[in-house]
Amino acid sequence: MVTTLCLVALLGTTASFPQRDALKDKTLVGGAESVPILTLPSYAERIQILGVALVLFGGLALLLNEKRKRADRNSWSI
Amino acid sequence: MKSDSGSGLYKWLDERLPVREVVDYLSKKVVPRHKHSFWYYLGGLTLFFFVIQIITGLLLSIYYKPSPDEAYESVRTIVNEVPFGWLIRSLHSWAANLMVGALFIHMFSVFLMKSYRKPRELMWVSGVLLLFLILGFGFTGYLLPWDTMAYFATLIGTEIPKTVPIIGDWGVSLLKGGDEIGAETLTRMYSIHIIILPLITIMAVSFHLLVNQVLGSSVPIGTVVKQPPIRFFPNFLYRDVISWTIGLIALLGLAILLPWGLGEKADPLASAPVGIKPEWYFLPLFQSLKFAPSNIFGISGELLTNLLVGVLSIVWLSIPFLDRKASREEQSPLFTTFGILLILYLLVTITMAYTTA
Repeated sequence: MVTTLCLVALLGTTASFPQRDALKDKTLVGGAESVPILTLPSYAERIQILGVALVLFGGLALLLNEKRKRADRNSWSI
Repeated sequence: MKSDSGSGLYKWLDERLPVREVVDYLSKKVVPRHKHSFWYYLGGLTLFFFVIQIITGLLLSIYYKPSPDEAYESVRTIVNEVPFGWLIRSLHSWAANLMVGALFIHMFSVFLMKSYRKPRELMWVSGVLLLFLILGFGFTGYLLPWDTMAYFATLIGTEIPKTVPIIGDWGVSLLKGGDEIGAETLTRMYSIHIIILPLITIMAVSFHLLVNQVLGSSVPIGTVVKQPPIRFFPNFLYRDVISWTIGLIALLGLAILLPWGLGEKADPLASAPVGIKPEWYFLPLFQSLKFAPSNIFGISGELLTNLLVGVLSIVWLSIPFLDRKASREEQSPLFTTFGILLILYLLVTITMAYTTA
């Protein structure tokens, strides 16, 4: 359930980031000046996406670690 | 005895299928604890990246068009227009590299811990076969974007096995679907990449995991085990999932901060760009071919290198049957030295290929 919540939160949050409209000048690789090969979200926008992912999956890792500790207390070894 | 407890779905399934027996069987698996236990996580991590590959590959296949006229444009559409297409493609490319990296570390850790010894010979054989399959994924997937680098790297890559007597020409022609790299080649590479290799790989992975479930993890020869083993379910599985989450964070970091690029569209009539190189995991072969003189006692250096790689592959596959000492639970320093030298050779050739023009 926690994983599902994290994924829903990730999708919901990142879906609100601006994507294509203002990206005409952001070329990743080569191409003619007027026609960029690839256009990507700006560095700042990508940092935001990474930040959200870090919070969610970092939180998930910490949560899993707590569950691991609890499982270890209950049945550490055979 | 059927379960009286558990969730509704569990009870429903348990009344129809031997779910409890399966869960009981799985929960009996234990994982040894010792100073080298860390390396046990690499196999699960490789599998995790493979699952990421399947998911992102499925999403990419919705938009990708495998024809020379449309392939390049469809990749551009995925990146430029499909919501989060850039991220999915970047995840696919980076996960492929991380998967190969994790697989190599897993394989060499297994080798150095001599975990291939009796009774785990079949685990090693299936693992080496999985290595070849994963390298096949890398080779067939490389052409798909149909950019200059992909085109010429595939052109050069498919020339190399041609020197192998009897089957070389036939194999290359079968893979390319003709003399040139064209529409037939792209269709074949695509079908091999998304249908044939995944089917074989899923079967090989299932077998590998089944043998692991039956035999459990091996303890390195001479390692003193002071602590009792832990249960796989749930104790080790929690650790596994935490390692996958860390792997996912690393993957997201790479995919977001260093998005995968795309070159110019391939022009078959143009000359190959200077300094063209394959992916890093093919660089040892690439560099070995550069080392080889053109002729050795009248035999082509390329042919000799190919034969040497073929022989090495067979030796590598047969390691559990060659290392008899390890099967008797004795140290086998000769094989350890061989493994270390091989690791050094791979690292040196990769570095040389990157640093030399």
